[in-house]
Amino acid sequence: MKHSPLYTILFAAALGVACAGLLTVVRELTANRSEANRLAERTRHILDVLGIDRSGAETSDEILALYREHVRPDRPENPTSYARLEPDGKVKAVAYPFSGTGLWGPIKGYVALDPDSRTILSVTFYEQTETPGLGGNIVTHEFRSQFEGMRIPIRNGRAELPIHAISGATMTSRRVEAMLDQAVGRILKEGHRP
Amino acid sequence: MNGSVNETGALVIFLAAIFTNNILLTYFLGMCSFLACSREFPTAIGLGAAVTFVMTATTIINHAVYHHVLVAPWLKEALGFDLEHLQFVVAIAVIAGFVQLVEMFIERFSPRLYYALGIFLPLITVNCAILGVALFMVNFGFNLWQAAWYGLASGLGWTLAIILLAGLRRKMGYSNIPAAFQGVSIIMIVTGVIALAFMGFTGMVSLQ
Amino acid sequence: MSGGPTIQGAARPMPGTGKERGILVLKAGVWGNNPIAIQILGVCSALAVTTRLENALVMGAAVTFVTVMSSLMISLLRHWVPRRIRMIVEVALISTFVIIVDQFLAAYYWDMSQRLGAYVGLIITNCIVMGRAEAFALHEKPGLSMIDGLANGLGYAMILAIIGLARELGGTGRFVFGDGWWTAVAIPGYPENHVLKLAPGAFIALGFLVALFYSLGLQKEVEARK
Repeated sequence: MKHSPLYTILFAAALGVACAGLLTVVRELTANRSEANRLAERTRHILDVLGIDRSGAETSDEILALYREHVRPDRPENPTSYARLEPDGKVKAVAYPFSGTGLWGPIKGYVALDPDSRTILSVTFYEQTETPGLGGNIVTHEFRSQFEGMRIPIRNGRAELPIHAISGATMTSRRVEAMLDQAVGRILKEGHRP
Repeated sequence: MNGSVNETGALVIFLAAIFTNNILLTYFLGMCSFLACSREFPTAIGLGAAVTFVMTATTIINHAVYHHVLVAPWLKEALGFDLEHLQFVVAIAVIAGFVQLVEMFIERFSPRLYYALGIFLPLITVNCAILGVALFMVNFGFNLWQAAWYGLASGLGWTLAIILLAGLRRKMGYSNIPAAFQGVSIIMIVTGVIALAFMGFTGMVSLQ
Repeated sequence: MSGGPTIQGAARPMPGTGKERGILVLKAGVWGNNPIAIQILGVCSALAVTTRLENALVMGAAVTFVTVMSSLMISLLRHWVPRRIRMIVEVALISTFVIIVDQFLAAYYWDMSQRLGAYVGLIITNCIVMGRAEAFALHEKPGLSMIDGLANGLGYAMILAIIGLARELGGTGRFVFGDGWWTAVAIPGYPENHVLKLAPGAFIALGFLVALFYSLGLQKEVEARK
């Protein structure tokens, strides 16, 4: 059936408004929760790398509550580093993000350092698309446990971490080593205690 | 993730989108028209060319619309919130509008081309590969230059896949395929083998 | 846009009472005119998200919701939609429901939202939704259109569930729901089978599944209808 051009325009406009309106309503209803989820996603990894036990926190709200309780940004001018709050007020663990290119795609994670003793406390990877079962095993406890308490040797002004590669995943391991060397070196150079 | 700058070079993006991150063989997008139109070579090439053209253009346009309108600071100031949640519908509207414009343009200036392409154009609008590339482009955090190469290369990669399949289907015409496998089934299996072959390109480049 | 993509399974006048028609439509959508196996629509997501059974089920539910709602809306509006902008109206309605699904997943099922990623948005171009709108909802009453949408959604979900089952079981030897809150260890000591988990495995799994359906007599049903 033919409709006049005016009708077409009115129909289109009415439909557009109706749809956009409906969507905005839905957005308002869900925005808080999805924002909380988004934040909790990142926060989860920070808690992990700082060694904060989150076994009791299931929901995003609980995770964010844990964060507020145990973590604060380390330095205001560098909002991406996070320090764990200690009962005695000293800073024993600071988490920094790092990223680099793996074999298949980007690798991103957090590294937690003990600022005074120049030791790595922990490393987590929150984004990687390496070969499942090979390079993908960088997220496993077996690989990551070597970082706990690892001292950071500096030679010629550069960090050279003694990382054990995963057998069968030489390329991924080398790239992880390179990106951690770079990240840790940069962090130590910039220093974190005035 | 959306805030970080993607530092991949254009050449890497170009090669990755064709071989290691092929929009059809790796991400499964654009199957419907791929299945319908891969029977003959001229059809396959024609559709591939059309898809590549639309994909490149709409990826560029969608990039501009996303970054300068939907999530732009001025909009957030004006409205109090951004329109990021309308990303899907705006992207598909851009694609539909662009295809409509192209169709009107071709109809006006080259009726012959119009009759040759006629059936493809509506098919292209709902081609999930084109929408997919626009959405992935945002996820990868490309700038305009990278997005343009990504759109072009994804189109070429898709075209490559469809041409390969068209060639194979011609050959399969001479084979004795069991009844149950004829049609969709054998096409899927063959495509799976092509995808397996493309996996051999892994490590050549990677899309960051 | 002149015309539209040719979609198989265009509506024909149906016999019988409302209830009989409803049952016919239901059976057709799920089996005889199965969107993936017969109409060859919606294949993209069937391959992409079936790495795990859980993902496949959620995607199946999402597509069913979108198809039901958009078929309903389009059927309700079918006498008022101007012909020239017919496809754009369909796309707008479909997009609206897809975005609603996406927002809900981001709010209440975050892990799944992350895993499905852009493929939720790609439901907009899922040919099943548009296909049923064009072939059925535009010509039929709302009640029947809803049943058709439900039937096709379920037919799609069924295939996705089977492939998801095969790929997860064949790929990892077990099912995992959520972050592992429910793990059914099916085969102890199962070596990881990467081919099934990655792209080629999906294509091949779907190919064999369709062949299985055909050999179970699906093809004969289609031939009989012609």
